[in-house]
Formats: sequence, C-alpha cells, structure tokens
Amino acid sequence: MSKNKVMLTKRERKRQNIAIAVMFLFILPVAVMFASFFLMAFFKDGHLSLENFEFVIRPMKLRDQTTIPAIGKALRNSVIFTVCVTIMEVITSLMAGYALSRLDFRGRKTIQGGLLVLRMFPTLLLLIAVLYVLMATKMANSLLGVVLVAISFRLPGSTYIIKNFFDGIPRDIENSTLVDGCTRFSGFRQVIIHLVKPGIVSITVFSFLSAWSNFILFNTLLFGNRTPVMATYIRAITRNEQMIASFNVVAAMGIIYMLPVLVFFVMTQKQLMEGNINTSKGL
Amino acid sequence: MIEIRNLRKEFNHDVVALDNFSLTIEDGEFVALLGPSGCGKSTTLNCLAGLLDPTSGIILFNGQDVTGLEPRERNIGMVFQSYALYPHLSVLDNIAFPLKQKKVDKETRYRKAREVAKVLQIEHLLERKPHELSGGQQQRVAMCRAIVKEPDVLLLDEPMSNLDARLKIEIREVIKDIHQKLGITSIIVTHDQEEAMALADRIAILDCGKTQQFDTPDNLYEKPANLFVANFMGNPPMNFIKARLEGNRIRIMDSYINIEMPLLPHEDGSDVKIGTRSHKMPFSLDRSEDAPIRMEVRNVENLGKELLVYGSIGDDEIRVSVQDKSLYSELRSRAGRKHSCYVGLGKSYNVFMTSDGNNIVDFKEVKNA
Repeated sequence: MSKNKVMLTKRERKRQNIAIAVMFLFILPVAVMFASFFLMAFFKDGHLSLENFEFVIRPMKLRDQTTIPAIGKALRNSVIFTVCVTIMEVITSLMAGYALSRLDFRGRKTIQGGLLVLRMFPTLLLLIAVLYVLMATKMANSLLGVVLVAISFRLPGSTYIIKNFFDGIPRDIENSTLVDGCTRFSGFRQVIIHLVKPGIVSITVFSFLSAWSNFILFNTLLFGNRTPVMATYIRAITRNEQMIASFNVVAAMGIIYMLPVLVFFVMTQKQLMEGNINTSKGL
Repeated sequence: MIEIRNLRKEFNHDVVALDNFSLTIEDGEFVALLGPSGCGKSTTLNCLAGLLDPTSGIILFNGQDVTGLEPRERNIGMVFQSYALYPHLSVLDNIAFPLKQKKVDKETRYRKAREVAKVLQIEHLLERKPHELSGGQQQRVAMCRAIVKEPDVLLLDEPMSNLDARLKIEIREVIKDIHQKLGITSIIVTHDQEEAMALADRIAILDCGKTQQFDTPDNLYEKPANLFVANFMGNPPMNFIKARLEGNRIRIMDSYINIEMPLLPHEDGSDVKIGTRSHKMPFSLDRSEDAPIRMEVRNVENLGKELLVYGSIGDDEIRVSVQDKSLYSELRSRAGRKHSCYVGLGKSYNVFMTSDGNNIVDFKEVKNA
C-alpha cells in the first residue's frame, strides 16, 4: 500500500528478474489455455466471427441436430440467485458476527464453537439430508430452496471471518459512539461498519464467487429443466446424449459465464487487497 | 453535583470490582480517582458514563437518578485512553460528531467544532484524518470531541498513559486550562499520583474496590489515613521504619525517642510503623539529640539541589534528603565502607499501626500542620 518505492540493490534486482522468469514459466501453460479458449470462442471456420454467441440472443441450432435454448432465462436465474445469496449472506453474517463479538448472551460460546465445527464439516455430505428437508418443507426443486441452502452452507465461514474483524475494533471506539449520543444501531451504522469495510468486501467477494460458480447444489437440488441456471445450462449441452462437439460454443458460453466475475473482481480488487493486507484476519 | 451511593459491581458473579462505594463530587470540581490497576477506578468511571450497569447502588446527577439511563441520555463527555477517534472521519467531523447526533444543523456544528479546535490549538489539523496526527494531537482532538457538546460532566479515562513524559505535562496543562475556562465537573482516572496531584482539587484513593481516602492532594500527602495511601503518594515514597510504642516514647532498634505527635488512644506496646518524608528527617554524621537513630549508609545520589542518601535501619530501607552538598564525598566513602550515620524523626511524622495499617496520629491536635 505504501506509495514510496523500495529501492533495490543490483543483486536484489537480479534475483527479482529470476523470480519473474520463474513465475512466467508457471503461468505460461495457463496463459496458453486461456488464449486458445478465446480463439475458439471468437473464430468459426477459420475466420473471426461472433456466430458462436448466437445463443445469447436467440435459440441456436447446432448442425441441424440439436437446438440450445437462449441463455436469457439461465442468466437471469443465476443473477437472481447470486445477488440474493450474497446480500443475505453478508447482512446475516454481519449481524451474527457483531452479536458474537460484542454481546454477552447465553450460548454464545457454544455457537462460536459450532461455527468452527460447521466450517470444517464437508457440507456436501449433508446434501441428501438437505434434499429430504427441502422436500418435507415443499421447497425442493425451487430456486428459493437452493438460495436458503447455499446461504446456510456458507454462513458459518463468513460469520467467523467478520466476527474476527469486529473483534479487532477497540471497545473504546464503540463506547465512544455511545457516549457521543449514538444508540447501538446508529453507532454501528455510522462508525463500526466503516471499520469492518475490508471484512465486508472479503466476504462479499467470496460469497459472490461461490454463489456464481455453484454447481453441485443446482445439480442435486434442481431437477428437470424447469429452472435453468448458468452452471446447469452449460452442462446440458455437453451431456453425452447430445453428442455434440461444438467446443467453440462451449468456449463462448464460458466467456459469458466468466464476464460478471471479471467485472466484479476488477471493481473490488483494490479494497480486497487492502482488506487482506491491512488486517490479515480471517480467511 | 454527582453522588455515588453504595455502588457495587460484580463481574461474572464472583469478581467484585466495586464494593459499597460512595463518593460525592461538587459542581465544577476536578476529582481524580487514583489507585493501582484493578482497584475499580475505571469501573467507577464506566458506571458513571453508563457503559456498565452497576450490580447495585445508585448514581445521582444533580439529584436526578441516572443509574438506569443510557450513556447518550446523561450529557457526558468522555476521553478514552486510546483516544478512540473515528478513523474514517476527518478531524473536523470527529469533533462535530456528538453534535451531529444531537441533530444540530451542519453550519452550527462545524462552527462550534472550529471554536473548540481553536481553544485547543488544532485548527490547522481539521482536514486531516486521525492516523495522520501525533499522539498528543490525537489527544487534543479527543478532548475537543468530549467538550464540544458542553457536557455536564467530563470523564477522563487515563488520558495520558499513552503519551511520553513531555507531552504528558503539556496535555496536563491543556486539561487544567480547559477545566478552568469551562468549569465542567471533571473526573479523571489515573494510576499516576503526580498527575492526580497536579490536576485534581480532590483525590479519591481506591484499593480493592474501596475508597481508602478522599481528600485534597495536600492532606493526602501530609495526613495519609493509612499505610496504603502513604505508600501511594509522593515521590520519593515515604520512609517506613518498624518501631514500638512504649509509654510516651518510641523505640526504634535500640534508640528511644519521645513522641512528638499527639496520638489517638492506642494499646501500650503496640507495634507500629513510623512514616516520614525524606526531606523531614534530621540528618547528621554523628549521633546527636536530633538524630539519634543509627542508619547504615548504602549509597548516595547527587540530585543537584540536594543529596539523596540511601540507607537502612534494621531491615527498613530509608531515603533521606540532605541539603548540605559538601557532605557528598564523606558520604561516598562511608557508603563504600558500610559505615553509619544518624537520622531522627523530626517534628512531623505519621504513626501507622502494623496490625491494620491505620494512621493513629490525631491530626486535630496537631498545631500548624
């Protein structure tokens, strides 16, 4: 974060160059993969075209054998899902983290320990049980059900992270807001929340990423093609029975799938780095 | 006027921080709560601020019971040990923050903030963020924020413990000035007796959740109620010498000295500790009428204006100030050879019972004390 540049000695500069070379070597295969991915998406039959992206606006025919539906519905569902999960997860974990960090209530220790256990527990093992619960509550095969499950799976982790950020705020600052005329909530809104901003950014980013790229939950909890989302949409056309091998289209879909994440990352990168460097908490 | 009546505070149902604590503070008075860490002084302050709920007892501000009120309903200003500035706000916004909570309009609150900033000489820093300020400047900002809403009571929680020695004195003057200008009833919590002496009109000395003595700095220094207070006040600390009261004489080691001070009724033959200040002890190289007690010289320091002689009477470590600096080399050589010199108790000293530590000098009978 510091703006003053570090002066390197000759020897250090030499070593730095070696380090850069080594890193470049490791990155090369990945870079090649990405490059060929873009090439596949933007070239059709040897020349530059956007034909591979036809599915974005209308149903697309592939070699007169199969038709893939337009992406609109899947994209919309994915966006709704991601936004819901992210917002709910951030708000809930903020409140829970604050309570665990600051308030004294019965069972606080138990909940705190429970968070850690839940965080370590491989949640995928619960999927079958979760499906039964959803069926019993008539929420199976609906987006709402998946939203709830996705939030509850991620909540322990993000609550734990944000709790650590709250723990890092001195009591005095909070007491000071109270003395200065705030209620607990207005103090939280005007001061405390600004001090945990890096924490909020981290959990928002990770929540967003995991929600957007979620596949297992959709694959297990949504059956039939009633509610397509991005992850299942892409899988649908690569299924064995379709027997289509238009990798160009798959690559094009991949780019569409990647775009929101890219935009989001570019937007939050600065705060994210700040959060991780300045506090080195959680995660 | 602030009244604390029979305050009791327990933590986790077994740790008693304050026990039956009472204190009355007059309007405009500057009171210091002084004591070692863990004596309950910060707990008292937090109860006054409303940040802690007392287990029992009541707190009155001007006759009104505020025990159950929220901090924001008490109109108090508070300065915290860590300053507790809001890092995301500029200095100006920090100072104006309490007024913002009172829904004062923007123009008025910035004007008032600038006014107090002027008083504390930090006008040129108003646009900065707290992390761009030095410790002393941050402390001034915290002071501004505490007084900008014209509180009835100003609470200071160890405001100087994070500052270096010179800044401490500087901020001490600032606090004293502010108190004189505004006349706010102020309460400061500190573990530094010098700070308490310098600032306060009256000092309450606390230990184990109880008031040991609540009096003016001068009385605490001259007439400590018990050993604890005597130990706490003054630098260098008071000398304590084991002795026994025999009739109207004090016996120290093998020497007998007539009792000069009027004493409260006590049992004859009681074990006591004589407490004297280093500058009140007569000193001489040879035994004399004034200085009949033999003291082994261990070391001597030249403080510039006087000499400070370290020695021991029996097991008791003693410090004596000696005005005559020409004795330095003589004392040096005696210290090297573990030789002795002689001290006396002088005309004014304290007598503490060894059993309960209370001072049994009857100060009502002491003339021109």
